[in-house]
Amino acid sequence: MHTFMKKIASLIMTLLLVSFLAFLTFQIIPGDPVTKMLGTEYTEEMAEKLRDEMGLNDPFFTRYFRWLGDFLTGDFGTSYSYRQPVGELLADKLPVTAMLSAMAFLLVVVLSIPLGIFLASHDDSIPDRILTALNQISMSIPPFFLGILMTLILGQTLHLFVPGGYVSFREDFGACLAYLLFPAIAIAIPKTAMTIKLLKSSIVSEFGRDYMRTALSRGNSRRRALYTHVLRNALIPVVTFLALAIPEIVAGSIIIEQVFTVPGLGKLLISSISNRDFPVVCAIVMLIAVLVILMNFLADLLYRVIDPRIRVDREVRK
Amino acid sequence: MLEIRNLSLTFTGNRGFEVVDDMNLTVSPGEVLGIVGESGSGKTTAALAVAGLLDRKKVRMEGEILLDGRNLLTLSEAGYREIRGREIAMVFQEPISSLDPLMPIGRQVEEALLLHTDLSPDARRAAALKALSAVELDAPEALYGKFPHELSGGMCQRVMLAAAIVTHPGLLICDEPTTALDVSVQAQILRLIRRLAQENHMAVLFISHDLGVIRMLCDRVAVMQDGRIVEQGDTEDVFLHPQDPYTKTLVAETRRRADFRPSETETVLRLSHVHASYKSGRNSVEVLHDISFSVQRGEILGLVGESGCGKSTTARVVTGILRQDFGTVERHGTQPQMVFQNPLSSLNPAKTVEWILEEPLRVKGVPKAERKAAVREILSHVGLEEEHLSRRPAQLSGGQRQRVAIAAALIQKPALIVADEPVSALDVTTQQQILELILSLKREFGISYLFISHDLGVIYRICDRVLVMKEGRIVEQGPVQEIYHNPKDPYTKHLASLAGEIQ
Repeated sequence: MHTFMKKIASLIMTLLLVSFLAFLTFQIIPGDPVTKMLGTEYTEEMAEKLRDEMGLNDPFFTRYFRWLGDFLTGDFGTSYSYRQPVGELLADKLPVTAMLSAMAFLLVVVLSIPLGIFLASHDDSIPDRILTALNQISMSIPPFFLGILMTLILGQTLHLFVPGGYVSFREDFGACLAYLLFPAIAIAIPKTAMTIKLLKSSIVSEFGRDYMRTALSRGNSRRRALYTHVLRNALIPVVTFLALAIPEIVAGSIIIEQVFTVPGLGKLLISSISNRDFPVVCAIVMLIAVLVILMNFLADLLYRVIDPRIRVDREVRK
Repeated sequence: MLEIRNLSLTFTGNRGFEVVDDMNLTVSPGEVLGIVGESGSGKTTAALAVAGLLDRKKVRMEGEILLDGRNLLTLSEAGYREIRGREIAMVFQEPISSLDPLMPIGRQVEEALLLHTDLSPDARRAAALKALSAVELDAPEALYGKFPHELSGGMCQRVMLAAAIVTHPGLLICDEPTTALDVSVQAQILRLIRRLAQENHMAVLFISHDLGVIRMLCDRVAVMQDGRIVEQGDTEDVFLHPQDPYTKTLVAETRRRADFRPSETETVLRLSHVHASYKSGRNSVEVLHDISFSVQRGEILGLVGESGCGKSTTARVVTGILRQDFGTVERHGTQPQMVFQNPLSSLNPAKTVEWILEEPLRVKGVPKAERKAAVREILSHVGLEEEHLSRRPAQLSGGQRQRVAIAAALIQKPALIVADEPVSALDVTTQQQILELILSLKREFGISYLFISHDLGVIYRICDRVLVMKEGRIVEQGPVQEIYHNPKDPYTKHLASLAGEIQ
């Protein structure tokens, strides 16, 4: 339990550091939210008055701690450009990105594990070589480009979906999912390819281990040995990879939302950055940071469940 | 029981070559047959062929392997699976890695029952517990749910044996099952295999590179060289009256080693899971990670690795100069003594040899007359003359200085001497003399050594077993011939190739 508490403490420290860096970055980069807000009717006096009202003239640390205090009590501030509480803004956009990411992640898991197993157990066969080559290609296509290709081929030529025809999940949940499937595929393909490659090579190397020979000597078929012994061992690196892929998938969604015009966090983030709408940007950055840290933590816990050696090891070392 | 007739095994592929040539063997129930030969002689390939574990696409098999009269070579893969684990069981060299690291021990022991019988889960569990106690493991109930990493190598090999005998197979194949184990554990496992064979009327095919081990265990022996059986017969007969020239050299080599075989039961040093670090101010750098090994009485254990790998730190922990952070260090007998690389700097230059040799006794308050007598006695053992006593270290040759250093260690009658690169600073001839001195002291007094060197060639000449260290961990360990001729870890291979170039 001691290590667990230590872990939590370090998680909190990391989050504080991220919040500080995010806040600091916004002080350093050029651009002024006030001028963006005032637009063309800009005068120096009005700007100065607005800065005072918004508390932008207070010392840096005063502003940081005020923001942090509000943040911790659940008040994420008010967007400069939308003049709407950040919490509300996010509540509207977050489910879209979350759904998109979750779909992409599910696709990665559902596609890569059976395919990885298939390729490993047919290592060096003709289907293996073809799929491996295809895999290598799909790994190197960036999702946004894949998104453009899909819009062109699946959307405009084959009419499988209407590009830009996003339906809000509040109106029609099914139609919303159907539309999101395409951007989810675009995000999932390269990650799936990487996971397949990792799982396959992991299984193939586990096949060469001594315990595999033992399993065969007891009368296991290769197939049974694969499922009872090898797979669990081979999944250890894959679990880590998948856990770390989740934040990347979220980041990928933010980009792909632009391509498919999905009104999620991505669109909000990009417009907020250009408007110097720092409460919104900071809230999103913190959200992603929390996600990354949580996923790492989860992977660590999952690790302990899968691998009994880690349960002991860590305790001895610390 | 098992009969092999005219078995030939050929690796197919573009450069096909024969690994086993016209092999003929029989093993009866309750009998232990040894196959001895060096690595590459085809003994393991033959064993894998019997178990049907060779890839039929890559190996062409001719002849007959008869198990209770059935020719196994005519079986389909599915037919073979029925036999593997039920009628033929196998035990391998590396006990820890031969077990699935993620599956509890108990489930691995009962796996063959799950595959070959209709027993209920409860009945399987009961059979597994019975097998675990049959291999002399304590508290099988507690072991059942443990994982391989929680057990020692010897215990893992017992678990492998339990898993092998759980279905009461007629044939047990053991491929170098004790090579990776300590000498003391090795003897226990051999006795256990012997007992299991007799009690269960099990035929055992026992493969080893070590004729000494075969002699301890086997009724009959077959000697293999380059894929052929050059000689076979009753073990004692072959050992006492070898006919084939290759068998003769094998026997001579075994005799030479057996004369000073390290004790099986007396352990002088045991490190378990030792972690050690150096601290400077608030910084602490861990240099030893999870080091476990033991030294038997009369054994020379080599410790090899590049500089900075933690060899000298290990020496400091063994002698108690540095305290370990975790783990235990058990020392039996008197305090281990050290011999260093450079005697000129480790011997007090202002004092005479006599004064230096007397010093440890003086500290203990031994009377003067006894001190003088002890020093004179030790001189003859380390090859020094009385005239040397009045000299100072600078007036001696390098070899003589190292003899003085060894004498200073020896005079305290230690059970263990830690020699840290003792011959690295010496020329080749002197090196050879000092190595012979170390060996003769081992024979005369049963002294054990932890012999540290960066040179695998030197280690090969005098050590029984060797540990290979890299970055503060033991990456490989085993009998010195095995490590030198058949290194497994890439780093050891590198060291072995270096040693080969120099010689």
